[in-house]
Amino acid sequence: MRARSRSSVTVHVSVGCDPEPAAVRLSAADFRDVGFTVLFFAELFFDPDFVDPAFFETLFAAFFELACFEEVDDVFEADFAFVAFGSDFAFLFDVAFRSDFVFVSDFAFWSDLAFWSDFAFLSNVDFLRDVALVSVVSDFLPFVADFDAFSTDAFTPVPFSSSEGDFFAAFFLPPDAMELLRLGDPQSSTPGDRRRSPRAFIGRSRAVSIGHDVFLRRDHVMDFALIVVLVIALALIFDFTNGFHDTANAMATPIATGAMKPRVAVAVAALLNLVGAFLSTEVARTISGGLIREGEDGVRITPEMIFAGLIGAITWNLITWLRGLPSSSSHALFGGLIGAAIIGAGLQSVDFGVVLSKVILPALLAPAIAGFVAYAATRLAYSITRRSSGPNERGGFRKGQIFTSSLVALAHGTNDAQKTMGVITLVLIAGGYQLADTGPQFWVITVCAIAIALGTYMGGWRIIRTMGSGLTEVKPAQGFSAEASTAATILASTNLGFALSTTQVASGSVIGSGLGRRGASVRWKTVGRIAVGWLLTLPAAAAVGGIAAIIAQLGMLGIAIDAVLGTLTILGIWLWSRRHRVGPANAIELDVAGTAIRGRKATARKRKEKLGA
Amino acid sequence: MIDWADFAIVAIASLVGAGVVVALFSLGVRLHAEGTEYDDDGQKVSVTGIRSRAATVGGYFCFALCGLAALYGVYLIVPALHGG
Repeated sequence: MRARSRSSVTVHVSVGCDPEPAAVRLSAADFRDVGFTVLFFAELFFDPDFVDPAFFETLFAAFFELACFEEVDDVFEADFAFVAFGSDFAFLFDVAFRSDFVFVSDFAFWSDLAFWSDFAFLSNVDFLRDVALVSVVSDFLPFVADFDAFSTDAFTPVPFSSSEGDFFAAFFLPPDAMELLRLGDPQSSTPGDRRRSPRAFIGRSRAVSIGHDVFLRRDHVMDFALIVVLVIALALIFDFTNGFHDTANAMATPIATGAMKPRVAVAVAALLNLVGAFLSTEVARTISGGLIREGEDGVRITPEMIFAGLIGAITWNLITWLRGLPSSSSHALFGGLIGAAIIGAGLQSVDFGVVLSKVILPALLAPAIAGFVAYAATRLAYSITRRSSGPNERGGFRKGQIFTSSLVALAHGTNDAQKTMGVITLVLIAGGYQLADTGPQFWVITVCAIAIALGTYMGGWRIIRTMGSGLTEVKPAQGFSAEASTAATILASTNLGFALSTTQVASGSVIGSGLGRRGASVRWKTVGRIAVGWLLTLPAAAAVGGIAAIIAQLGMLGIAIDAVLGTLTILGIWLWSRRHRVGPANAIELDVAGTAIRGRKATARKRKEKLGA
Repeated sequence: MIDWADFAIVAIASLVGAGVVVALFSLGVRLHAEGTEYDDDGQKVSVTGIRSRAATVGGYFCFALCGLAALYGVYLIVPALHGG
């Protein structure tokens, strides 16, 4: 008749025409350790030919005992409580549920007995946890006593549109019953002596569903709206850091060779990122790309987790920027989310196999493949342009660099702005502000595009310095080869289904091209620093995200503390960065001698200087 | 785990793509370098000899092919163009 263990799934008490009513004499204690409680109140057949009236009386007594607990201390502790009535008379009084999820319905669900009650009575039922669903489906009046506690002023209906939200339920009620509930005037006989508090019914539930509508308590609605706004703000800040962190991928080598002036280069990159963001707006179905076991059987990534994860990602992006290290912004985002998910849902929420195959191994493979391609391309470029007599003219590669680096910038815009759009869209969907399975809204696309373009325009000069002159000295033919390799590798990886990080590809290309040009040397110390940065990205962002998630568990206070700490961190890093400013003027010392392309004016000026001297 | 076949395809495609573009552009640069000379500052000082018409045309042809490759790159980047 019943199973008892923490993990048991069902306690199925079927009364029906069972001639042994004693079997249903249960109390709340019987359910205390059950993971999943189902109380079925069976259909009573009033057909005297079928049911002996005496049997009915005994059964009713059993029933009553089951439904009426003397003390509110009788609390259902189960994780999930499901109470379904299928009787003509359904009663539930003086019960408290500490379950996370309570479903009360007077509808009998089992196979061939789909009846609902003629008369349903709920009184003084206390839901102590966040979500309670109450469905009352009766032929005539569902007497829901003490419903005056439930006024729609205190609650706001929210459009829960799918099974992806906190819960999914479809309910229906006779219209007059809805009126009764809304009026909050039960006019029904209440068992006066049992009645403890008129406010007992809703208890501390965050959400209640009655009939078609889902109601969220208004203070929680405020909290929820606030966290959604905060997540959007943080996502845009992340997008901005993503922009300036990655300017170097496209523009470090053309700036280093003088193919484009620094200001012009970042402006072109910003424009192409802006355009790119509008070109590709397909949003990933999962935020973490499978690193976290999301979805039906896994963890639900809450806005709080995303909030904490974004703090981790932004902090790590700023630290690596301060150190001038190119590092993957996506890995920082994944790291932050992983940290928050481990705190929020435990270590098993992370799929470490996917972490290995999608983050760690690609971090080794991306620079290797790009480095090899760039090495070969550089060798090729130099061997083709070598002249047997006279100097080799390789200045023409600068014009080519403009195109290859622009391609990289455009690809970056289509890829990276999309990540932020995905985060914002998934949060909007989780919050019920947007339908599931819909793409990003236009305003989301626009603000993400602007944020990444502004970030790109900021330049991230420290990283440009590392990529453009820190790893190796870059010459035009070499820079062209490196950028062509970066573009080819990124396009191949995104179109052939083996995702590689743009940053890691670009860094690998620069190193490979340095190895490929005779006379160039690669500064392996810098390469080592970058490699350490890549190794640390995931765990470091995870650590910060985890700490933010621990603080966020304090509720709104924690979120506020997080927001303040995050702002202080950003300000602190920015102030620290002011001690040694790196800007377009001093990012890379240009060697403009040799075969530099100059505008006519510059050339004329130089001639004048020469004449003057 | 890692799909090594996919990885190999990406590696080969990258190598071929970058190789072809770099080779073409280099060839263009090389062809246009025929017959020019520079001083130590990199200023073009003289055009000794005459760059053959074939070299000029060939160079521009190479650059045009590179331009096509860049357009193909744009085609690959923009999903609306290739339906994905």
